[in-house]
Amino acid sequence: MKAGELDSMTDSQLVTRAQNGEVPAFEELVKKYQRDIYNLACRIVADAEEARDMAQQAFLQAFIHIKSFRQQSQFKTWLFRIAINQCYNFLKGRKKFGEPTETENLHLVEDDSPETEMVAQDERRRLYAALERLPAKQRAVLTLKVEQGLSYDEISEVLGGTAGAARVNYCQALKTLRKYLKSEDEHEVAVQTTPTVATRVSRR
Amino acid sequence: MKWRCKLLQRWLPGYLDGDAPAFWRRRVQAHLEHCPACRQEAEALKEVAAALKVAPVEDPGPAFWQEFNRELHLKLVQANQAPPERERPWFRIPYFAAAAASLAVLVVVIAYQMPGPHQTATAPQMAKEAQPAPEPAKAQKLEMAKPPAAPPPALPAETSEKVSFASLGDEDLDSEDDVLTWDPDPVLADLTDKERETLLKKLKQQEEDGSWLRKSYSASWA
Repeated sequence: MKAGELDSMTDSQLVTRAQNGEVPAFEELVKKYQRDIYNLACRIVADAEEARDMAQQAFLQAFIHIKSFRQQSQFKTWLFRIAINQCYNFLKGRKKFGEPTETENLHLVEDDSPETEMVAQDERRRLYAALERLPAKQRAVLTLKVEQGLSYDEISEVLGGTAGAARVNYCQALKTLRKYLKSEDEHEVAVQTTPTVATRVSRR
Repeated sequence: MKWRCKLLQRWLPGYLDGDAPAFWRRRVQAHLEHCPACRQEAEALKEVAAALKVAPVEDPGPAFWQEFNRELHLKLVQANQAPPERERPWFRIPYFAAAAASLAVLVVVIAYQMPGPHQTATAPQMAKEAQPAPEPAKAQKLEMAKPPAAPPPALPAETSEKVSFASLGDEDLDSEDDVLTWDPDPVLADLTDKERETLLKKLKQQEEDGSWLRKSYSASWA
């Protein structure tokens, strides 16, 4: 089997081969979805190292249970569901839902101009700080909708529930994120007006 | 009205990214033309979604993915070489299911073996069945003896009935396909008790009053 053959195969064909135990076919699926799964894990667990482990674990679990996948839904949504369950289990085990984590672990933009880079970094830091405060499920809905471009039906397949509930969760997540972004702005202003504050003030 | 804004604001994200049903898209569009508060809300949500889109997680680089794939490859090969789980034969059932089935069979056997009322009353039952149907007068007495029919239950605070809004709008806004397919429970759950009461009262009134209210609603939707 040549590598080029695998490139041109559909997900369905690759899954069938993987179900017959062909590791290269499954690795082709990994190559296709590894960035999406890693990005999703980064958003949910907010830690790059842990997100890498979650992504690997998700793919491993998908491979172990690939024979139980009946292809009634898309492989991508099934894979997302596994990844999200892995992230949720990790968060439950860590018992740190929504607590601030080290946002510096997440890779930031590298731009030519130092000023632009600083502004971009600052924007991202505020965004990540606001995202960390969201419940894990709302982070998941936002990522799946905004970054992965899933429809509400697909989101409901990944997270469970109905498309209507997914729509409501997404709306709620956007509103909550907006509220936290606003409070991040206010916090920045407060810190800047009191330069003696050296440590990050906890908002919890 | 505030409750209408709350109801329609749930559809704002779907309206903004084009993922709302046509019925709600038209409703939201018509409402935004006349409600500055909802317009402001829509703009704010657009900004937040845009902020999220322009700040995706950065790609960690080819070295990261090389290492990632190498580690994963080892794990996949190991998993592939692991002996498969012994598949349970189709005729094997879980122990607890077998125990429950045995217990049920035992109970049934004991129940049939013990003398019960059904065994002694068999003859009188058969005689009763042979009797003619009761006379109409007796039937009437039986009916009068029945307790009065219970009043229809009041509408619950969170109704799960699907309400069709198709009759509310203008002909231009409605189509045969606009039957409600969404679950109103999450929407109603977010309303206060007073708002819910107001909404239900208006729906009830509309049902009773008929066309003049429909017209007034269709005018006020705009």
